[in-house]
Parts: sequence; structure tokens; C-alpha cells
Amino acid sequence: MGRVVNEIRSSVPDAQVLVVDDGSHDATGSVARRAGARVLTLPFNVGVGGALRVGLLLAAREGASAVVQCDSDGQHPAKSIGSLVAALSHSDIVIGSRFAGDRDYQMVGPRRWASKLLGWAMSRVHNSELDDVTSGFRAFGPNAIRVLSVELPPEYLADTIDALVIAKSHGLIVSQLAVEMSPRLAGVPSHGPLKSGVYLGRSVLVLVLSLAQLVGQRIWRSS
Amino acid sequence: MNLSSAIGAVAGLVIYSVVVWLVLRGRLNVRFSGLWLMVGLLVAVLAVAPELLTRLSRFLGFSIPSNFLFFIAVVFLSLLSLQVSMSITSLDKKVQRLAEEIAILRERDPGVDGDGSSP
Repeated sequence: MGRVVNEIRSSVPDAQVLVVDDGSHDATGSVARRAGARVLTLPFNVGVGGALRVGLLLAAREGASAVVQCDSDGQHPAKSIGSLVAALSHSDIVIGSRFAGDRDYQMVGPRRWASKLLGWAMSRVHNSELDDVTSGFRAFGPNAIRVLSVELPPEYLADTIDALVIAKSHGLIVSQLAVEMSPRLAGVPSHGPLKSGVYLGRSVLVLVLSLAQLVGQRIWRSS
Repeated sequence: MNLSSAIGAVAGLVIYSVVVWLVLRGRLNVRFSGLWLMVGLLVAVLAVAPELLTRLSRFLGFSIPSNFLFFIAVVFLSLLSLQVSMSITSLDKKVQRLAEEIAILRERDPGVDGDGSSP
């Protein structure tokens, strides 16, 4: 945790590092604070989507011009933060794709199918090449910060696909940038096979609901 | 009055009393109580005057009155559980927003709720 914060601080010295402590029972908060990060401490666990919402809410209130979301396990390379933010000049959300560049990064099982299916569907929805829609390494511009801090649903696993669907319905532009992942500094991958299955199921549901919503919006606008 | 009418009337009365008791104990919102009081009342009325049900179901084309009753019950319970899911959704959103406000307050002033760590 401390290493991740330090790495980001040295790569982007003029940025503020914000750590969201999602109801953890270890020393995450104090370690991060000691490393020079600001820490938002949630009173109980709300999941990645909820944690992202609170980070974006604080950024929106303080008028931040960009927010970059990254995992705390160190697999998201701090040296790529600058290029993600630079890419915000032509879009509202930039996804750091683990696939677009080198193909070393591999997924297996349901998680891989989910990723393929969702990438295909989201690329069509946004009319833009998006290979890695489940990536947790993303940059948000001011419009995306404002919209998502309010509209993102407070549910488990709701941070990736839902965000892209909401982005579409608010007319935000999404693009991707290839990034090379680092090996994790700590922790284990957060998705076991069962959880991946649940994730796939939920994602398909969100997809169906969102397509219905987008079609409805189109009919509404054209009438 | 035959036995089945008596059972129905007692059931209606029990529903009525339980609902009133829950409201008085503060365990059921007055907002929800009206609905359940109406259910209790309806059960009691239909038990005492079953010909009301028979006539209504014949009028609406149900061949067996009990089918009509089951139909009403299923529709009522489905709508009720949908309504409950909707209120949970709205509560979820409020709880999330409160958690966010607490996190932001804690960051600004770690001592605002004790030591700022998880309870």
C-alpha cells in the first residue's frame, strides 16, 4: 500500500493521491496517510463501485480536472498515469487496456468470456475500440466525474460496465489506451471462478437492461 | 354461520389485531399499516359473506370462486414485494450517500466521530 502511494507520488508529483478505505479492518488507512495520501474512510464495506463513487464525489466537490482510478495492489503502472490524463483531451473516460498493447496479460475461464463479450458489446455501444472494459485503471475527465459520482449505482461489481453504460446515456466519450501492467506488489486476484460467474451473469443483465434503455432513449429523442 | 366462515372471520380479526399491535409498538410504519388493515378487513368480510365473492367471481367469469381469490392474492403479493424491493433500492442509495458523506467528513476532520477508524 505504502509502496503504491509512493510510486504514484513520485510519478505524478503535482497530483493528490486519494485512497478509499472501504471498511477494511487493517492498517490500510494509517499506512496510506503516512505515505502522504489523503484517505477516505468508509464506515462499512460498499464495494468497488461505491468506493469509486465517493472518490469521484470528493473530486467533483473540490473541482478536480481529472481523476485516475487504480488498484491498490500495484499492478497498475504509475508511469502510465500521465498518458491516461493526456488522452482525456479528446474523451471523457480513458480506459487503460491490458490487452491493447502487449498480449502477455491472460485471463481464463468465465472471466475471459465475460471480458470478451462485454468488450465486443461496449465497443459497439460507444462506437470505439474497447478491448478491456473490465479494467480498473481508468482516467475520468470533469464531465465523467460529475456524472458518475451521482449516477453510479451503489452495488457490488457495479463499477465497470455500469459506468460505461451511464457514460453512453449522458453522451460521454470513452476511449482506450494500451498500458503494460506491472506484476502485483501484494494481494491476490479478487475474482475466483464463482465470483467470475456471478460477475458474468450480472454483466449480461446490465447489458440487456442498458440496451433497452439506450434504445428507449433513441426512440424518445426521435419522436 | 358455518365453521369455515368462523375460521375466516377469526383470521381477519387476527391480522387486524397484529397490525394494530405492530403499529403501536412502533415496528410497522403507519404508512404500510393501512394496506394490511384493509387485507384483514377484506378477509373478515369475505368469510362472513362468501356470496359476495361468489357473485363477483361469476360476474368476472371465474368458474371457481376460490380461483378468483387466489388470483387476487397472487397479484396483491407480487405488487407488494415489488414495492418492497423498490423501497430497499431507495434505502440502499440513501445509505450509500450517507456513507460517502461520513467518509468525506472523516477525511476533513478525523476526530469528527471518535478516531475516524472503522467501528
